[in-house]
Amino acid sequence: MGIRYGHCYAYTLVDTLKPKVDVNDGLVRISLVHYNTIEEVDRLVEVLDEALGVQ
Amino acid sequence: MEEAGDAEGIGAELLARHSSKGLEQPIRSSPRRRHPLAVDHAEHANSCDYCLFEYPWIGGRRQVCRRAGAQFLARFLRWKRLIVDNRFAPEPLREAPRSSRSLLIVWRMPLIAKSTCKNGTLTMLCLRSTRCIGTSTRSFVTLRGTCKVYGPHIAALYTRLSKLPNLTPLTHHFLSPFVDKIAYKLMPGGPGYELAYSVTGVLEYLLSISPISSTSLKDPGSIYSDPETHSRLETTFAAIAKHEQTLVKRLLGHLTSEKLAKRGVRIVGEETKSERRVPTVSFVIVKGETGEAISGKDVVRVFDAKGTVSQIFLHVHPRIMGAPADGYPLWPLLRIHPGGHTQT
Repeated sequence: MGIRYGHCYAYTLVDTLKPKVDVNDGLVRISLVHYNTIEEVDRLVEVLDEALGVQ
Repeated sequence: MEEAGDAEGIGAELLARHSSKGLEQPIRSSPRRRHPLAVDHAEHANSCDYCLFEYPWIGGRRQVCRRAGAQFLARFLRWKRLIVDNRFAPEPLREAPRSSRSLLIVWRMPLIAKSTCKNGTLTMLCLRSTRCIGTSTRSFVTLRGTCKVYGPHIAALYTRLSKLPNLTPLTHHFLSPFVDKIAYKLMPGGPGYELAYSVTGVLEYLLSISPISSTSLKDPGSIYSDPETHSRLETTFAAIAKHEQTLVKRLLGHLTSEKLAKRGVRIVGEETKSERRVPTVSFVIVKGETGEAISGKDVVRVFDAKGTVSQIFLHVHPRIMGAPADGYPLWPLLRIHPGGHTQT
């Protein structure tokens, strides 16, 4: 699993998002792949909730 | 959607421009015999919602495409003297930001398309719309996007031998006279030998996760001659797709939940799982009912502290100019723990 942020080189797309976001901060992107498990996704979701303060 | 007439007019203007400059290879105005794989873009666009969104200026025998982040394509086309500037673009394109180049893609210019999805929205591009392998093959264009790579980051470009003589070489210009009729013309560079050899393990790996078991793995050399290899690969990719849909359903389900919606989470791209949706999801956190906006950096930082997943605090792609805001570019940028096992 991977998580990172940025404009993902989709600069124009990020620049035109509404509501406006900081292009340099861009998007948060979570990447999964076939060898990840559903349990790993559950764990990721827990941490995400913590990061967002919605636990 | 722009009418076909506009695109035709632009094409005619370009043709006039070319002939006035006396270019060696003027763009043909009359269509040649259609290749069986050629796609009628106008017809296809009428039946594909995504294409209407992605290529709203498709029409007639020529199409105008606007692609954000297509600087490579623009540079390539300019090099080939096929680029047009905004003056030739229809009104919506003229008003588009300079960064989103307007491109005139001449009908039957072959687009060599690979499996890719849009950066940001992570939706598979409709390959049918970008594939027009015509008979007047003269140039290559590759579309940049996010690719899923199972294995080393290496690729081979190939075509039928009969097509090679008509292709524009991708090699160094000084090689062109010597490589006009050989496959070398499709090699813009040479891969590292170690990397190239590592590819031999990819097929074995893909077959190893196929639902169909086989004894051929005991003799790795036989997988290339095993008539069942192809069907087993199909089951592998079907299994991968099915599992990835399960993963993305779980992740998207949470990100689009009422709780996170109130928090300000907004998906960039399709919010529902579909066959085109890869299990990589982009989102932003704006000011919501239950909290303020959060920067991507701060979200990723929490993951870093937990050590749950691989994380990179840098720009998703190295900047071309200047240093990244938060560090130095890394490549490869996506690190995945071996075997997918995470440390918690």
